[in-house]
Amino acid sequence: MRNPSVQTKTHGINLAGNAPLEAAKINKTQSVVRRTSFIVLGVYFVVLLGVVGTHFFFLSQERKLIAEGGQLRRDIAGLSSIETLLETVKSRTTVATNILTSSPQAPERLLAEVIRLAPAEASIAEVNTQEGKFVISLNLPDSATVSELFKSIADSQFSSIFLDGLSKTTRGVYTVTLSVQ
Amino acid sequence: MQLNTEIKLPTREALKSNSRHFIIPLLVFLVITVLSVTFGRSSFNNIFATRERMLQFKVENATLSEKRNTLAELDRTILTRQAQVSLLAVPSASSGPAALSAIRTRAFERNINITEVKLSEKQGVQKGARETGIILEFEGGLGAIIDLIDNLKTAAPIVKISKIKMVGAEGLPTLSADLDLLTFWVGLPTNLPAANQPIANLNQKDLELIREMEKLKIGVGQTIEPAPPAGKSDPFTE
Repeated sequence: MRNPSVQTKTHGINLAGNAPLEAAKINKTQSVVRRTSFIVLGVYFVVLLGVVGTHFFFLSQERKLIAEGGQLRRDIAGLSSIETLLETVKSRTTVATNILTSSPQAPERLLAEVIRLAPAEASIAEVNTQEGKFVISLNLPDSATVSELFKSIADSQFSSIFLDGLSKTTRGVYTVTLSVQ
Repeated sequence: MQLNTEIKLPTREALKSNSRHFIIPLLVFLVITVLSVTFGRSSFNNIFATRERMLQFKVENATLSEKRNTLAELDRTILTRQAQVSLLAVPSASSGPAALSAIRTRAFERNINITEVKLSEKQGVQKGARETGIILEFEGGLGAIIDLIDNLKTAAPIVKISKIKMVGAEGLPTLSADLDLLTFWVGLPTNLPAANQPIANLNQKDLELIREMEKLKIGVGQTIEPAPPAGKSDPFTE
């Protein structure tokens, strides 16, 4: 028997459960996910469109550059006669520079300088000169001229003139052989 | 108190319903993945490749533009004159005969008697040029020979003395001399450099050299005047 005075707290079970609430929650979540997905897809398409657009922009720029290059090449081809002249001149100046710089001590310069040292009475017996070697034999009429020659050599700018030989002929002519390094 | 708690396992339908929620995000993910792999990646690769090519074209065009401007700025008349001067100094064909002519003229002017001449074409290219060797034997006074040798510096084409040998006899005013010379020539350019090859204008050193070349004097006989018609009447005057 149930005692009416005794109040009992019944813990009933909601048979419906939280189904409507959860369903609403799920629906909401589903809607958010769906929207987000579409937004992401939309953004992705925009980005993809941007990438494709950039690609086409770059391609058009490349075409412009190719066309510009082609025009420049045609312009250069039109100036080929001037380029030929320039190449002709440059090849010759290069060669001339090589020739002129390759012989710092040309034999003719050395010859002129050594002969300038010789007294007026001296005559050449023999000269043999080539790059790196210079030998000269001078005939001198007397010892005073020999002495004059040696003095002018000592006063000269040459740092190495060697006396290779000094002889006197029966006729009293002195022959001085000098080598210049 | 007795609680009737019955745990219900999700049914297949419930699972199906729940998984349906993920279909759209999954499809979006798949679409993004597929498009990224197929379209996006190749687009990105193409963009980078195109950008790289563009950079190359830009560099090449800058070179081409610089070359075009350099060539356009050059004065054809001055350049033609410079080419003529440089061709006299370093001819486009064997320079031996021209050099010999220049030396002979100078020797003649100084009463130097040339007794023997040897001309030889050197094989190969030395220092970017072909060489012609000239060996001269001559007789003359010392002053005249020294003057001749000194004067060869102003001869066109350029000659380089490689050996001098002189022998004098006691009591004789003349000397016998052997002179070994080299003269140089370079063929005309047959091919121009590629269009995208940078080109440099003549520098100060080149211009100074050309000014020096202008001072060189050509020997008589380098330009051959056509002989007047002889033996036949001119058919055009009749």
